[in-house]
Amino acid sequence: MKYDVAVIGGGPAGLAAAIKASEGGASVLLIEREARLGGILKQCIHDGFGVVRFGEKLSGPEYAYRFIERLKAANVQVSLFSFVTSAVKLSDTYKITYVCKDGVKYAECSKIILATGCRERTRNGISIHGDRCAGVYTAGAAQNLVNILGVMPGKRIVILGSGDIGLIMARRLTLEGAKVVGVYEAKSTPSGLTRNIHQCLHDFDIPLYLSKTVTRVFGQSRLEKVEISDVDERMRSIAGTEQLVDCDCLVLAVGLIPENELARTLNVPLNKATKGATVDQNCQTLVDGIYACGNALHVNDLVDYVSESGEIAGAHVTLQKTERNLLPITTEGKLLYVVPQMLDTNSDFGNVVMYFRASEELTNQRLTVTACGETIFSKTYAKLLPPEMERITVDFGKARALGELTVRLEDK
Amino acid sequence: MNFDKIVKRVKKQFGVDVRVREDERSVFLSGECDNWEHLVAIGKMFVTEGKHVVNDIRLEGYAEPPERLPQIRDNALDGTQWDVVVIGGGISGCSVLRELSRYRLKTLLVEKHSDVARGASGANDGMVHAGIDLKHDCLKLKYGVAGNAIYGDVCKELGVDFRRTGQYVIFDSRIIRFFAKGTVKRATKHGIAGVKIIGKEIRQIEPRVKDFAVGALYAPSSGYVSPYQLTIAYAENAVQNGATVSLDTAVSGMVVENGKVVKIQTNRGTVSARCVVNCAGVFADRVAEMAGDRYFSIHPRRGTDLLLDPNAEGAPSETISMGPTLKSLHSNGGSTKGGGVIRTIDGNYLLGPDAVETPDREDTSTTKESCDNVFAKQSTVCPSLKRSDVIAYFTGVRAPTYEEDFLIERSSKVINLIHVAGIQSPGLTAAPAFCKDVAATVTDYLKSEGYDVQANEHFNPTRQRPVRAKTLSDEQRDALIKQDPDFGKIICRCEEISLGEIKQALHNPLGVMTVDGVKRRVRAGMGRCQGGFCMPLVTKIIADELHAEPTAVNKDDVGSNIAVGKIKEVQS
Amino acid sequence: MELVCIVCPNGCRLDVEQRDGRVFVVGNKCKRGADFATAELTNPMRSVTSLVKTTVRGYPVISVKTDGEIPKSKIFQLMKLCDEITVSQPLPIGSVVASGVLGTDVNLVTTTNMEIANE
Repeated sequence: MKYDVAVIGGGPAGLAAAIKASEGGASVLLIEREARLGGILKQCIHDGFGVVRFGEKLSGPEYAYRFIERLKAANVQVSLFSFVTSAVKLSDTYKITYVCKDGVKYAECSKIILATGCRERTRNGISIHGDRCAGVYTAGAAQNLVNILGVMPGKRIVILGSGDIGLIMARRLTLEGAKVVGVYEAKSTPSGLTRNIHQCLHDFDIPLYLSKTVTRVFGQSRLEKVEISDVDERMRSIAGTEQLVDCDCLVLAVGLIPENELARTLNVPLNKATKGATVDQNCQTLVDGIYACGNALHVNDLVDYVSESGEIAGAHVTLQKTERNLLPITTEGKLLYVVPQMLDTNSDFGNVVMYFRASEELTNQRLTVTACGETIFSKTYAKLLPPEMERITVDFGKARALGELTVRLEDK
Repeated sequence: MNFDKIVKRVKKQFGVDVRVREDERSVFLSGECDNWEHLVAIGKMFVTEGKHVVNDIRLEGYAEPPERLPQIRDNALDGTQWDVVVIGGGISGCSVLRELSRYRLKTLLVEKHSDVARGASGANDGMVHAGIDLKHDCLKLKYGVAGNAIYGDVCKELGVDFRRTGQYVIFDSRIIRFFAKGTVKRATKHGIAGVKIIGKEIRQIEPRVKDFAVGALYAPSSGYVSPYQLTIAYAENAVQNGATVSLDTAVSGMVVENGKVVKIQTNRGTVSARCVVNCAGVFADRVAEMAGDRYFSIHPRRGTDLLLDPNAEGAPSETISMGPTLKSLHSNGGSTKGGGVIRTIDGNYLLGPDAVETPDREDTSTTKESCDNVFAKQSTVCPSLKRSDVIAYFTGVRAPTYEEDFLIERSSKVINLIHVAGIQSPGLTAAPAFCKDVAATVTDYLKSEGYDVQANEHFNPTRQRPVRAKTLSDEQRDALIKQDPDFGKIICRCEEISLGEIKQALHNPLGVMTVDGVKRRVRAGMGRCQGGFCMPLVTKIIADELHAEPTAVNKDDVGSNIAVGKIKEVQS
Repeated sequence: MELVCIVCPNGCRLDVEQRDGRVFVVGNKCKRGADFATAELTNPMRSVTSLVKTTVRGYPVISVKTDGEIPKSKIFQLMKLCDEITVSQPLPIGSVVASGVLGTDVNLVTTTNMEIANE
């Protein structure tokens, strides 16, 4: 079958991208590897989704449902429980091979939107040593066990990492009757949103321990205890500070990594800071016709922005292919990253949505965007935290000359 | 023999008063020592031609942790009678069981874990050694070379992947390169074909080798296998040919009458046997002791390996594996080799192993020190390796004797007990060869006792290779899915494993239905996300197959439940 | 005192003061922050999300939420109520599974659209 666009992934980014592309007149194939649409939102039963977009606090499944309903109305071919095994470039199009319960299928499309989400870092990724017992799970796996399978991963729980999923799971497991002994964070500041620290931990008197990490796990069949150590400013454990904590479950919320296996096979250049693709303002990667959005592009903290980047990609795929003229957008100052990393001056650059994160906790900052030294955007921030992504829209049309594009963060 | 000199040397070197006693088979040591490494070193000092060392020197202040035993207790096996009972489900026990299934014998293998290959056989680098570093006149050499020669055929029969890639041993100095000529000569004499020395062109062949490389020893017969998949395949083929495997079954004692083991006590009842094969790995000396036949000691040795992502940049190229530097190859005597940078059969890279003596026979926990050491050591020869590419690490406990050779023989005291002990590297390589001799020892013994041992006319050496949908052509895969749609439903996205493959693994002849059992058989959960995505799905699939709740599903051994209860029913 | 507003992801840091029975709030970006702070000092309220059991194939549990806020002090009472509910048929999203919970006018509604998926 031939399509204008193939969207890989039916989570919030893919749903938004497919709807937008379809509404723009493109023929769209949406390939989702699970049996139901919605991606990770299916298991995120807590609320707080969609405040930016809908002005309401929705639960994950409700947020997904709004898009799924719109998708049904749109002219999108959806293939569920389907797994892309390869994507290769033909002369002017891409050939996608995927498997599903009906067999091996092929689709030809002129553009691909990668909306493959992200995966969690594992215990090996952060070097937790010790026994190979049951009871050590990533937060996402624990969330699936509780919210989808309806089973409890443990009764006495230690959570490592104060990322949002860790905080959410602390509350979730507490509500379901488990005792959460504590949330341990190797950094000296929490990784999750402040409101989640408040409503997930403080509300339930769950202690948060900073600058501590789990260094070892013990247990023959099920987890029996963990060793907690203090860490220094470079996050290395300090010998002699070890303490043992009894627990039957360790939940790891130690970070997310954009999933880019398919991007890799398509030779899409990835960015070191985001671990996602390098893109222009239309979410198009450095490979013509390949787009990346959502958490596959960079890990977001709000689903609203995941959908937004899907829509940016979905809107652009409906436009005629044009030769791009890409200018790099460089960063200066304490910025973890800025997305997009490129500006295509041959396409619309009037209202460019940009996302950035500070590299450390900062107060009284000014963010400026300059072109050839001329300031075209400036905004001040009383406080910036690495866990909280910021969004701005920049009108590059204001620039008298488009060149030497720089985003700078500095003390006010 | 007079050991006075050695006793004095021990006293001088370690300050330990060692008492020595000797009989026709063994040298028995006793005394007290406060350092485990010293204790092992002392044991090795008493190794004498033709005798085994039983090291009973006590480690001061050390209480050995209780043996890990299955949580099951029933009478499933009670009163059953067997021609042969094999103790231990590692590569030794499973290969012996399969060889025995060529005969019309009632054979039982008992394994205390919930799956086979749970000890050292499941936690090693999977290297099928050429045998270039082995000394003359040892069983390691005899069976290592013989095993290597038949590896391809055995793996083909058993439907297990095997690749003969060759191995380069890098030299960092011309002197070592010069001395390697002796190694080549020795290898040729030992019947190891094709071993040769190459010069600096190694840097073209393998550009990632550090530039100190002045040459390499090349052994073309080295190869790679998945050690646990081969062990599983042996066990499965044995069961398909009529053997019985009883998992979660630990031997707790034996009854010996008139120099024969007549009864074996387990947590699942007492069984009787005409012949017993001890393949108990790190517990082989304990099993011998149960039969009143303790004439050797096992000193457990930990080895840690690091597993790298298949996409690891900076790893050596596809077909080349890095051996140890020649220096380490010569310095470590008979012990396990210095490891290397290895491309596994599944396309991952593997670094390791190290070798750390330990008093705890079952301590497979990993340590930061070992991982750091292994990485540091292997990255000296391949400096472009990146720590961030490590996706998993594991530790296995090897089971060497003090003589550091295999001990494969029928006991002279307990005449129906055959020991297959001290199996360490190159045990995986050697098993396909020694299992034949062990089976012959069993049948010879049974015949000598007047039993009629006949060939099993239904014996089928072929084990069907499990379907691996990812490796099929699109046409074949499409046809497979049309036959069974489950093969089109991908469950493990990192390794691209379908529901069909997982179900196929769950219908294994051993009846293993655990999350790790699936992982060992089809690799679901072995990829980048390490099961983060598919573990709950696999749990659900197993529950459905068991017609049980997900709470009944174990990660591995009984008691390692993934979940502790259903929600709404758990009280903390 | 300092509070963090949990109404939206902005997570405004609020400086709250109580004088003469009145609550004064600084730091809120919108009116909802002031309302939150006032409630937090007098009668803290929370919306709650959880699960209830089902007997429907493919759905061991189904997600639910309160369609309004309940007193924070009653959260665990609500959890007990959730434990006792069993859904026995596929329900569309937003179905009420318990109305007027714990003497409030708040209902417990499903937040997942139960479809018999084509597996």
